[in-house]
Amino acid sequence: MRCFYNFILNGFSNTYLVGPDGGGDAILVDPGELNIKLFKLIEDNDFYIKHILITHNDNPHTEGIRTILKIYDAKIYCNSSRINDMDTIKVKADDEFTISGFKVKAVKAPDFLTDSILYRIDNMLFTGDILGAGRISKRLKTLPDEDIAEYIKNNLLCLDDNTLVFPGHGPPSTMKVEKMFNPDIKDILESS
Amino acid sequence: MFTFNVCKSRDCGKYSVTGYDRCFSHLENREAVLKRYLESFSSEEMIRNTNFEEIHVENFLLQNKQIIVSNFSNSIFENVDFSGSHILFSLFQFSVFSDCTFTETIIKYSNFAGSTFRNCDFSGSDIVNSNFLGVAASVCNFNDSNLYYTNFTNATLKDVTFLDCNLKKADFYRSRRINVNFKYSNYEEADFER
Repeated sequence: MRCFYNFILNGFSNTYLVGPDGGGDAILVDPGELNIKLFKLIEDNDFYIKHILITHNDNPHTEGIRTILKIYDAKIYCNSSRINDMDTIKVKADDEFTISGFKVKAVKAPDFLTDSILYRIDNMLFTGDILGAGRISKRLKTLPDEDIAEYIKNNLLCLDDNTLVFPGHGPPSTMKVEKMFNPDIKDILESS
Repeated sequence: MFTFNVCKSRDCGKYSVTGYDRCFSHLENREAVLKRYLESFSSEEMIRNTNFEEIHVENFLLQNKQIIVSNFSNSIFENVDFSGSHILFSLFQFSVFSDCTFTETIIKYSNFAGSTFRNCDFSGSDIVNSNFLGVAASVCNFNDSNLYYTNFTNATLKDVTFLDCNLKKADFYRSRRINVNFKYSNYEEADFER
């Protein structure tokens, strides 16, 4: 398995391309746009975009879908039944499905973020805006402290330390670093 | 590109070195692999899509390199000159940097969390949206650098200078700072509390 990263100027967001060694059907995560660099990554590696995973319905993570669908016949997976007026395959927390040859597990987002979902593929966790390197989402912080703690305990702390965290914005991280140094997560661990 | 082949040695969860099926500590011909990689680092301008955790590099020039989407976590760098290099979307977590030079580097979207920096010079650099969570830095110099949105939460900083830096949205929450100098920097725009 190979995972490529592409920086998108639209919202300073990250798009990820996951595909098999040697080319074939591939997955795009949060395509904020289809720029030349991303297109070259896809084509130079002999990938065909068959599936698009959306962590949440926000322009910097979805704007590229329309262009991609003009080139590739891809299915969209997200936690809403429609996105940018396009039909999707709705994903719920804990759903497991296999796409482009990879097993994907949907990881729960907090209930009130009704359009959000996280995806785990092998040891990679695509967190969208829920968890960044050293930060949790500002939207998550609108929850009462005990609800944040419960969400993080039940859904993120159970992940292996080697899990790679690929957020929608900013640098990558690992769960080990988040557990050790992310102040919001560290507090929860220390209080439990 | 990240490759995620886990070391084939029993009960080892570490990532294997790019091009091999085992992590560095479980490779049989470690010296030869290290030599091959260091030769390639010297000759190539771009270090891309490379996974080499636990590498030990000393007295080495990595000037004007492009280090892109690579993983060098749990490594040791002694007297390594990274000056003028671009480091993008790479992991250097839990590493040790002694007497290293990072002058006029461009570091973006990279993660140095949990690392130790001793006597390192980052002056004149663009260190944007990068992560220095929980680092222990002593006798280090970030002068004349742009540290926009860079995160030093839980870091321990001793004898570190941030003279004339852009600290907009830089985060020093819960950092321990001993003899740290922010003179001429816009520390009002950095976060020290929440």
